[in-house]
Amino acid sequence: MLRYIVRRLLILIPIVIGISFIVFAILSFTPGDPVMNIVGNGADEATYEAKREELGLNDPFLVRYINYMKNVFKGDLGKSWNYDTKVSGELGRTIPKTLILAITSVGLMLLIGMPIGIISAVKQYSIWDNLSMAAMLVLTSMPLFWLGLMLMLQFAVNIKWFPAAFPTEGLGTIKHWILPTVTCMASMMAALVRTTRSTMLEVIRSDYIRTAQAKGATERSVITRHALRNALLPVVTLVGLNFGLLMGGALVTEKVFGIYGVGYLLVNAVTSRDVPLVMGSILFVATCIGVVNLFVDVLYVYIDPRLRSEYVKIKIKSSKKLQI
Amino acid sequence: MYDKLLEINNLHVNYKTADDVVYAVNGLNLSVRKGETLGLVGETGSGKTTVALSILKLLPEKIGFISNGRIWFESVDITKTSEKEMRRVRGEQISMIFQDPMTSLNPTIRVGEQIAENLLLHKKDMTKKQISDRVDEILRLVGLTKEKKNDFPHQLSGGMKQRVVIALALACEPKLLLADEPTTALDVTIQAQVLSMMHKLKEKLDTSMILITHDLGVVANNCDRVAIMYAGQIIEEGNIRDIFTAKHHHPYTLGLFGSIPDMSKKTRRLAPIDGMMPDPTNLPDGCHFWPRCTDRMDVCKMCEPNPCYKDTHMIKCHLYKDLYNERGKDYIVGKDE
Repeated sequence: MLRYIVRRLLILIPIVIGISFIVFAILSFTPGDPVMNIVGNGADEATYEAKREELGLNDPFLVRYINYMKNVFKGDLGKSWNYDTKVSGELGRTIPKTLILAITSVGLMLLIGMPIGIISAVKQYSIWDNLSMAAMLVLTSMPLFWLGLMLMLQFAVNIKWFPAAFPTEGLGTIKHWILPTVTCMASMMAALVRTTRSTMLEVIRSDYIRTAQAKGATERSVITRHALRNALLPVVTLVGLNFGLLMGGALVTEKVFGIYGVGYLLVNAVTSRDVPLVMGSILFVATCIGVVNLFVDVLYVYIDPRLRSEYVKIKIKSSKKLQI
Repeated sequence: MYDKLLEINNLHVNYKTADDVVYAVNGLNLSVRKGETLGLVGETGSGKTTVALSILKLLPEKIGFISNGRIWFESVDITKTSEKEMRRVRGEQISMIFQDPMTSLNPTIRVGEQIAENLLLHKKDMTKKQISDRVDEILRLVGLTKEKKNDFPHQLSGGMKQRVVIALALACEPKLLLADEPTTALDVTIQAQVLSMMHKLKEKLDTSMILITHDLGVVANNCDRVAIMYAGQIIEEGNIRDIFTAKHHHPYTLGLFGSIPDMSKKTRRLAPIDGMMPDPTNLPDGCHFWPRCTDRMDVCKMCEPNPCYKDTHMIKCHLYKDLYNERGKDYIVGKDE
């Protein structure tokens, strides 16, 4: 297993390099002048040229890319063009917020969504099932920003349970995180409940569930011991995907609640054409998504023993390759 | 020497779907004695599996209903038992071997644990060591090594999986075993192995068995008595000799035998029964078989035949109305009426 994980992590390196190249190329070849943004419209020719030279923009594209990557491998993500601060410092300030938001909202989503999905499936077409399906439909069709604003209006402005604005420095308190977490969770939750419900429905109709019932197992044990694990795979996929996406920042939530997370940072950097900042964020997001995917794949193998033999095949193949 | 273990009286089972009511079992009478193997034979869709599921009360929830009739299992009426008591019956008193071994085992649990679960549920006084020993023993009985208990179902071949399914059903030494086409999913060589193994185990543990199949060859080799089912009813019943050697048969049974290849005769084609099983949402009046029957009479379309008995042999057909009468003569009425 360890070998498999290491292999996957090694594969991640060329993938991230590829992504960095594509993003770097897009940033370099899009029209518009980043230097103008920095020095301002009224600057004279000499200042402008000096800045261009300083940022290395007079070099050919490939030279610039290779120089950038050389620094990255040395562990230096460069300085932001706009703020003149270190990119690593900017990321260090934003990543914790994004992480907190991602972990809390995914955690809460699992805690609430899974049981709802399971109960909906077990009690299919009951009032509970119909109600939760209707609620999930409402949640999916609600625009995220609108939900965020409404929650803010109701709970922060009208009844003042939670603060509306997020502090500019530091990570805030639990109270600051409740509304963003709920907002962020809302849209993903609907997908989770629906997936859990439909896979559970499929599983509880399968023959081995009937076998378990014929053994005389209680309904509870049939669901938790026999059905749940088999229904888990699509759920894990979905949660993994969502978590990966959230690492790129839950942009809408961050914007609405003024949380300066990775998404916020990335969008600001793109609009101001701040190449080092964009590149730094993208490298972080790409690595995160890769690692989360790997984690999901490893989790698959633990959940479904049938995949273990698949993994053994990979192992055999790779060891054969090594012999050659 | 024989006592009745299971007796089914006038069982009616319906499946209610959104638009239709499917009449799957219509007034079925059946009994199984202790230690006996009863073969339940019939076409696909004749309601064999529904009967087995009714005995375990495992009909699909909210769809399948026992609408009438009684199922007596050792003086307990199963149709009236609560779900909680039923759970104690399932697996311990009555267990079932399902049709398809490929899908009947949980893919995420080791087979040993799946067998042990049965013991854990019903033999609360057994220690862990005893349970594990029992799992080893039962695996040995079905012809698998005890190392196999650590395997997952996907690591076993079809025949091995079926053995595990059988081991699972026999773990608690049930009084009644419902074997629902236990060999249909297997190839012929494995079929013979599995059947002879089941036969041995049955003798050893002294279980009664209902062997559901549509293979008359399997029936001839394994059963003491045979019941032939058509459209949710038993249309002919008797011991193995009655069914395979007696002179008179229900026209449907004759049709079934006609569709088995006979090596002693020179025919180019088999003789299948014409037509299809009647639509169970809309069964014909009278005898359910008349639209396909070659010997049909006017009375068949009008009223349902009563069962006619001759010793152990029962035929439900107007042709044999007076087969067993007070004079003891077995002549056929009706044909010249």
